[in-house]
Amino acid sequence: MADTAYGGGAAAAPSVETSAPSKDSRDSLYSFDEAKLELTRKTKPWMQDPKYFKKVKISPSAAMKMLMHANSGVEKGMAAGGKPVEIMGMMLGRPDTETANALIVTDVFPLPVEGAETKVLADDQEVANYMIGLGDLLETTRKERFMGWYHSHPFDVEVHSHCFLSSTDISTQLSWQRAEDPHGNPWLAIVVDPLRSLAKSRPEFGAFRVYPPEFNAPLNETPDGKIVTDDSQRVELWGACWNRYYSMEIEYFMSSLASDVMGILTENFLWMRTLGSTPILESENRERFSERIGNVADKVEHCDVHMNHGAGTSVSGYLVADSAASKPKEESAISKATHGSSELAIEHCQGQMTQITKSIVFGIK
Amino acid sequence: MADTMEVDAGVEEKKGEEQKVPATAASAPGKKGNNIMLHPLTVITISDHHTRVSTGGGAQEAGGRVIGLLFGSQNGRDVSIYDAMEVACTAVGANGLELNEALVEKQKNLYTAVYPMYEILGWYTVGTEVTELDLGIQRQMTKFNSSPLFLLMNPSPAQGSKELPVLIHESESHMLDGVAQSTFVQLAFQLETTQAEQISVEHVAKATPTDGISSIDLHAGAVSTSLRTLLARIEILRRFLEETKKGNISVDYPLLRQISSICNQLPTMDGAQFSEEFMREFNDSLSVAYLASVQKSAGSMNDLADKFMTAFGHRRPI
Repeated sequence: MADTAYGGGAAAAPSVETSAPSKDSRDSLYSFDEAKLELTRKTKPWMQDPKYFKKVKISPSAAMKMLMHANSGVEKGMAAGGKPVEIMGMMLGRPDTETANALIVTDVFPLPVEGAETKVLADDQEVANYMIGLGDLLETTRKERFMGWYHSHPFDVEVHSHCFLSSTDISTQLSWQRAEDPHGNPWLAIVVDPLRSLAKSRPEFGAFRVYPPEFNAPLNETPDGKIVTDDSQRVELWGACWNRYYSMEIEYFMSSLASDVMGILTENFLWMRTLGSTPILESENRERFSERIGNVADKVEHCDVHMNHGAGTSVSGYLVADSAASKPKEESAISKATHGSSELAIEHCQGQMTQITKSIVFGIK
Repeated sequence: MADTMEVDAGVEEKKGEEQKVPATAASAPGKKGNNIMLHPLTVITISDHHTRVSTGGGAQEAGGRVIGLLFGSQNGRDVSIYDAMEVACTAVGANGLELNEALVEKQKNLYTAVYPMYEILGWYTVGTEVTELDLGIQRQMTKFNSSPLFLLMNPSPAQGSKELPVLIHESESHMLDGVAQSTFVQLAFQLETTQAEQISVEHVAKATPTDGISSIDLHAGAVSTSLRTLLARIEILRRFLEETKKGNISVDYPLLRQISSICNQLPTMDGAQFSEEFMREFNDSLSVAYLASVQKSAGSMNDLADKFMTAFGHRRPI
């Protein structure tokens, strides 16, 4: 199973028989246990917790289609001599029955909707008819139903991403969540920032769910779970309604066949980028490097305090119960810091690996 | 490249001897002389469709036939296949299958409402060889495109294969004894990507969780694959230069000039300052890696201490 994403050579052979369900674990997200899904849809754990979903798993074709659709809106607007056009579409998928707190997006379908400046709406009669037609057609080939919508924010590239929900987006998402969530179909919103994706050479998606109005959002918490007290900063990043929604982690999955094909594609054209680009030398990464080191250092310092406290009480034998109570917090603090620093280290190891390879291959020795 | 495809043995028997006549008779307006460009999205969509059907995740019965439409644009002699959409088919008889033309029409209308610049270019299926069934569907497809393309994807590409497991065909009809016969002719194609496509392919390939494999491992794999590919390309250029020198092939001046300009660029950076900076950067990374591993050990130690306290801490006298 080594280097599945890149290795043409060592990639695991996909199961040959097409009739028997594939045993490959990479294919497991492509099918599901209908009874189990029905049970999940009945128990509706997301109705109890407004922040129930933590993760969104996206299929490669869904990711490609969203980015390409968003990009076609940009090209269309530019060709017409104006601003990039906002686009919108529907997502097909389901709540994950195997892992709690996760949603799966298996495919996306563009809608013939175009808008300008955060006014993408789908209440048009024509669009409604289109959606009905699309839904009918999909019933002939798919078992899943619409479980969310995506739209693009094609605004000029700035320091931060434009993946946020505007107040219009929030009311759209809220009305959908109200209609669908109670019927076992938790609704998802994804925002694409096409211009930044192109500028930074990586897909910029944001996956969001909205809090119900009666839910008291945590104080000063922005959608990414950070505490920001500077109002101008949080409004700039997350829009005026920064405390009415939260963002989820995005993960990608791929079938065994797709990853084999991807390996071949990599050999055909991605090799140039692997050798040609140097992400760790990009000014954005370099500038942020010291800042990130600082962040990790802060975190480490913070958990030192906890540790001294915890260790002190337990060693001297006082209040064992107390130290146990403070443990979860302490653990998460130190593991957070460790996570941050290993991420940095991995990034740098990879960057240096590329640099040294290039120096050996292309440099003067 | 346009080799006549060996049609399935069963078809040959049924159609009789005429099949073996060389395919030179009057052919339909074909795409043979055209540049066919295939986009990765098409290939990924077809593999997703195949996986969905073979694992039983679709509305079709598990292991059923995978059939869909190809969308793209045709501009003069340039044909670009951008996207694929699955379509449900109707069963005919025991093993037969035919397109549900109403559904195809519906899919076409839905698709072109969003992308008016694209049209139906043909259809796809998954399998290892062309069957008689395919000729039937190809005939039906001519209602939607005068010369439909037929894409066949092999669901189990050979290990270590460098070629995409994809074949693109068009059909040719011949008049033989007053009876029209069609055969599939294989066409050459190239892979083309838009920037948006490339970004997502690359990112998804990198970000895919592969149980327990370190991402550094993946990266090292990518670098080594890239180097091998680079080597293969350089080998081609070297052979070209050698052959040119020997006079076996005619001299291609523009190409030679390009090669020379690349060679001139090669020694990009040298000098004490550069190597000093390079080493500093390298040492910085080493210290980051070192500190991170120290911290990781500290974290593990802390976890262990916590577990120990939970298990044995209460035994201590208060």
